[in-house]
Amino acid sequence: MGQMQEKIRFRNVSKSYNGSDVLKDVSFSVGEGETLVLIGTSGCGKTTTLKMINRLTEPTGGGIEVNGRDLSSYEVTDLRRGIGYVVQSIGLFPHMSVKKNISIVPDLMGWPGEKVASRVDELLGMVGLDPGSFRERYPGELSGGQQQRVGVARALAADPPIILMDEPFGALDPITREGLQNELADLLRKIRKTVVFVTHDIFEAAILGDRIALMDGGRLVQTGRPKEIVENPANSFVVEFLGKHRFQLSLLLTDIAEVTAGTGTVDLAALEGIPSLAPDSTVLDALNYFKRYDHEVIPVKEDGEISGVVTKGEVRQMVCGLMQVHDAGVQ
Amino acid sequence: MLVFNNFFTEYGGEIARLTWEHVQMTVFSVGGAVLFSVPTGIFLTRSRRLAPPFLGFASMVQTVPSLALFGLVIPLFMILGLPIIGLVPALFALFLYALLPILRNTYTGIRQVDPVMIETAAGIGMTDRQILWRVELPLSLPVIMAGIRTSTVISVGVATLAALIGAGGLGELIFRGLRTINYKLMLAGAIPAAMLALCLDFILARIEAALTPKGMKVKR
Repeated sequence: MGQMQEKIRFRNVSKSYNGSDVLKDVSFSVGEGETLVLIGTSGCGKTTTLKMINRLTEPTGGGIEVNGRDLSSYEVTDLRRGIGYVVQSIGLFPHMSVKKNISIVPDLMGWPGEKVASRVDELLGMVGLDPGSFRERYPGELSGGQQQRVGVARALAADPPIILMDEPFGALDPITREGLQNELADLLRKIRKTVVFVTHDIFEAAILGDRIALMDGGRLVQTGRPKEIVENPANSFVVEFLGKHRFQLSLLLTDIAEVTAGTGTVDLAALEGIPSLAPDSTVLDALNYFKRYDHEVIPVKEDGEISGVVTKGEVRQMVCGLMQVHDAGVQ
Repeated sequence: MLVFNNFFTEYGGEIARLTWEHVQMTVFSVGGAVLFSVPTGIFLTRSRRLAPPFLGFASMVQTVPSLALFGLVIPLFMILGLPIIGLVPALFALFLYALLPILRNTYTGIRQVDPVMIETAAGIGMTDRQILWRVELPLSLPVIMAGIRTSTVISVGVATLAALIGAGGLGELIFRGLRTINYKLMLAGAIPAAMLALCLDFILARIEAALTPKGMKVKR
């Protein structure tokens, strides 16, 4: 992460509330364009940490910097208008139309009307809602998933460099949630924002996070790329937290690149018309593929051309390898 | 019919005049109560330690029987050297009586707005004033309006007693009817008073509907 410009930095931040320590000596940094997921069980301090970035909560010790400047040197409303904020569906204002909700921050910043209107339509498109049919509707008329899309659009409205998300998909059913997680991951890859995302769902963290910061009892337990955490848990708490999901997570976090062979020896003509996978698919995707289709070989397509193949044998070997790693790790 | 025609030729003008007085008393006292109670109610949500004494005082006023309140206002005005009969003490008593429903509903209306929503509003960069005008007031408006409607209906009723201290209004017909055991006069005061309460409530209901933000009428 060295080459990345640092956007947010926590230095030995602590917080006590009514004599009890909510946060203890938390230090981490988030690079520009990076998504950091804060994860842990309820009460671990992840939301408190998040709310310190837009100063809804103030630390009682240590310091926080945004863009290399101490947080307390910012005018608080200016700071907040420059940071997108998404919370659970309750965060939309029920008395404002979708358009009004999305345009709050641009309005507060005094954007001209036409610029706001075209930005609202652009954002609705970006989050997969048809502007024509959603612009004038009210949150009460939308499904939970649609409300969350509007919430994301609102956070992006004034194009803030930093976005904070506090369990935005927490109140959604699993299917809607999974769809939105993948869409958000794609969107974030496109727009390159610095994101701090709070969740208690390790799969959500693995899908969305460039890095994960695992918290427990107000302390940071381990920070690292999702794959690092899953493969090298720092202590027994991390192992316990990952629990029975560890094996599935490592399937999710291993790219098929590791088992993709060149096309040298295969008959490309025989693979025409067979469903393919993208090069950045995961081993979990490959397993699901074998479950669905009765093929021994999966073509991997890049820009419409077959760039490699994945065979059932290779995948099986990889899965067995991962299983051994995890059996050893659990004991 | 003839009886009615005669009655209206004789009393029609007076009924109209007294109804108008009644409307004025109600509107001025409730209007004053709105101007006082809504800002005070908002202020109390900001300094919650002061809420119990204020709401307590307003509740206490409300527990005094309405007739007795007029009786208490007269000596108070005497001490203060203000007119003890007529419109001024009547308006003051009505004003005190109208305070509580509006004050309490403003206070609870704003407090019932979800704290998460207020925190979100702050989190996306609204100032306290913007949160009040753009989030808290629109969301508590139905509750505040309900308080204003309650005060209005109570005031129309209590204003009939204002006739006892010479402030006029439809109570004059009722009390004159009672003294002379004239049912027609009693009804000539009571029926317009009842209709007035219904009409004002209806008008306020329409105002409430017009002011309530559209999204809040959406059924979830």
